[in-house]
Amino acid sequence: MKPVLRRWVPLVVATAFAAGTQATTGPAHADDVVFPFSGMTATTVVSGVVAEDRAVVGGADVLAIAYPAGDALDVPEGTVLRTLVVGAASTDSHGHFSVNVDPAALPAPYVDGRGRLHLEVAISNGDREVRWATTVVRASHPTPIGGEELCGPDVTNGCDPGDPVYVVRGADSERLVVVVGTAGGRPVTPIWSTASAEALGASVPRQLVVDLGARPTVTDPNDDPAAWVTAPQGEDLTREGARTPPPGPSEPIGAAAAAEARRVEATPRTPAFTSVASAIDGGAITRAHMREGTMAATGTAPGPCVTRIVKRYNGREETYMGVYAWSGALATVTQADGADHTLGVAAAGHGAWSSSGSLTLSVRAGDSHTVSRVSDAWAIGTVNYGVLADSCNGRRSLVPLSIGDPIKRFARAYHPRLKASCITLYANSSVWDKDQARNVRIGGGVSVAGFSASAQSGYDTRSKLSFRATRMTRLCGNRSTSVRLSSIVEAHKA
Amino acid sequence: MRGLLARAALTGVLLVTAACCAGEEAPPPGASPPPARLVEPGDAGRQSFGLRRTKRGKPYLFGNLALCLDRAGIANVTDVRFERPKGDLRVEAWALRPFYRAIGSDGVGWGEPTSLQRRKVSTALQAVTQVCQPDRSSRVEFSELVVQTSRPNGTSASGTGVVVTYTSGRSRAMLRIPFGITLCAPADKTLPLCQSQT
Repeated sequence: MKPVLRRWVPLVVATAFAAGTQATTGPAHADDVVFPFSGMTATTVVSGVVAEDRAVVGGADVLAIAYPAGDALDVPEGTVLRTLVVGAASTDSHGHFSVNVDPAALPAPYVDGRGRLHLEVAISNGDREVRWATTVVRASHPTPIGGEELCGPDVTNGCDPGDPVYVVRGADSERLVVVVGTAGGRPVTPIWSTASAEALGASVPRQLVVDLGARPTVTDPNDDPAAWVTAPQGEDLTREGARTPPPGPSEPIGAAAAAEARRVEATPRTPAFTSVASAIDGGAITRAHMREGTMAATGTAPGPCVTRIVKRYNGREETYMGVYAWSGALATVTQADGADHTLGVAAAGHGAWSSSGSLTLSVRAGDSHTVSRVSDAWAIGTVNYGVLADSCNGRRSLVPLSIGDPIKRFARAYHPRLKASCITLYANSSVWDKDQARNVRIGGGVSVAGFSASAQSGYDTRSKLSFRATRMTRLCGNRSTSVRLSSIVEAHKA
Repeated sequence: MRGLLARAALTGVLLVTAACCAGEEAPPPGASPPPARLVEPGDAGRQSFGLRRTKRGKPYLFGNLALCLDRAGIANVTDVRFERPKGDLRVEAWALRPFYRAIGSDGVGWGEPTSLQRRKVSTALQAVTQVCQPDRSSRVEFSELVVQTSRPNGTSASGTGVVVTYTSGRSRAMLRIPFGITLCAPADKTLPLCQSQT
């Protein structure tokens, strides 16, 4: 039996803590086993909070299952993808969990050339389970996390599950949240991070807020779907012929679409948990393996079932970047080898796909592409997706396998008129390179097999947007503090 | 959660651990809140701007560099210089201009061919007191940093960023703004942004 602690309703919280937590009982299952809880450590790869209908859940189980990476993921139809359990944890009485992975314990096929790891995180309580895919990267910024807690056992007033325990600032003051406390309250410097956190100049492991209630959801508090935007499809600029009306402006995807992006499908608990429980009973996996993140070295598969690629969808178009320029300041889009694209993952639900996280893939060596003299266009590349099927229960997921052509074509985009911040480019010939800043995430950037997946290309040294002003130009951004700090920038005649 | 973030930012109760600023270290647990830090109020990343036709010795202004504090306090700016300068690129003068509204078109552009004096921008203010506001806050407050520079000789000149040194409380710290500036000389195409194909 698993205890379920209910708190976080503000007035109830204080009472619950004063009286010593109110516990209820969760449903039993045959593989009932409690994995360790450690709090965030330096090797934490993903951490978060598990709740049911906003009441935190203690004793819920979490597995981190690794996909093969790089070329080992981009395999033909019919190929079995050998997945591997690389970490396990249970939630504590506050619903918090941290899964630890020591990179030294990871076999080669599960790490790509840049040390990244593609994970499917399985979260289960009782007989239900949800899954969420994510890519984690190696930390490159020494970011100490810890200290005084904003929300936690001693600070509960006004706190909801998923509210930040710590807030970390990136290099440019962008806030990133951490939703669990550190192990023993000691500051830690993580070795795992996410691509989006790295772009903001901080290293923070993936944070997930999971609700297994009547309407299951998974939210990454550092990537709110409410900030995603639409990409209205315009005419194909590479084709001659009849012209269609210009597309409408790009807009936030809206509350309903954002809510849908957070929704996940709850399925019956899979044998993966039973398999790990058996390995613990048999002594193959110890608590030390889980605490220290060395579980991958035990070679534990997530159950007796195999995952096979049963269908590939190659060359699906991905709309990932809006370019708003004019003839006096045309843009150059560069997608070099290794440019990152974060693409949505879906799980099969009741007759439809539902969101199930995202994976970050890179432009392959030799596929780099630069296009100059771009104006008012969506940059469109291609990606290759696969349908993965579980041999036991037939559970299917739709997963990006590789990037195809990073710049296949451009489609006409509506030119927004921004006013929050504007400057004039005075020089007769000036050039502005936006080398490294997070691009907006486009909801529905890829349509594949009836699912609209999100797409995002972060600007970095491999994914770059440049403007060359040859005439007097007004450069305007969407942030009231400056053009430099704007995530959307447009150029027009001065 | 947004409300909590805003409240925390305003009351200064958050312990913010830093990957941000060279010269600063996180305080030990239980220590008093650290002094206010100077930061950029948003997601900027690394950018570079090049003026491909400049005159030797002529001053150019670079503004639209927003700064604010991560908590209430005062940051006294003591020095502004270029990071990794080439061609003897130097900050000749700098100014801070407080804003409590959207900057709109009132900021100083990139490469304005004038001086702070001729543009009538005062260099008297040396402190930043504006506290960063959450993204969706209707309240706006920040300081615009404006840098005056020129190309001192016949070669192209550049810096990979702007380094702001300041004191806050009893500590001295630096903020690196990853905004590269290049001033091209007509006959010198050696720097990347001065080359014709870029």
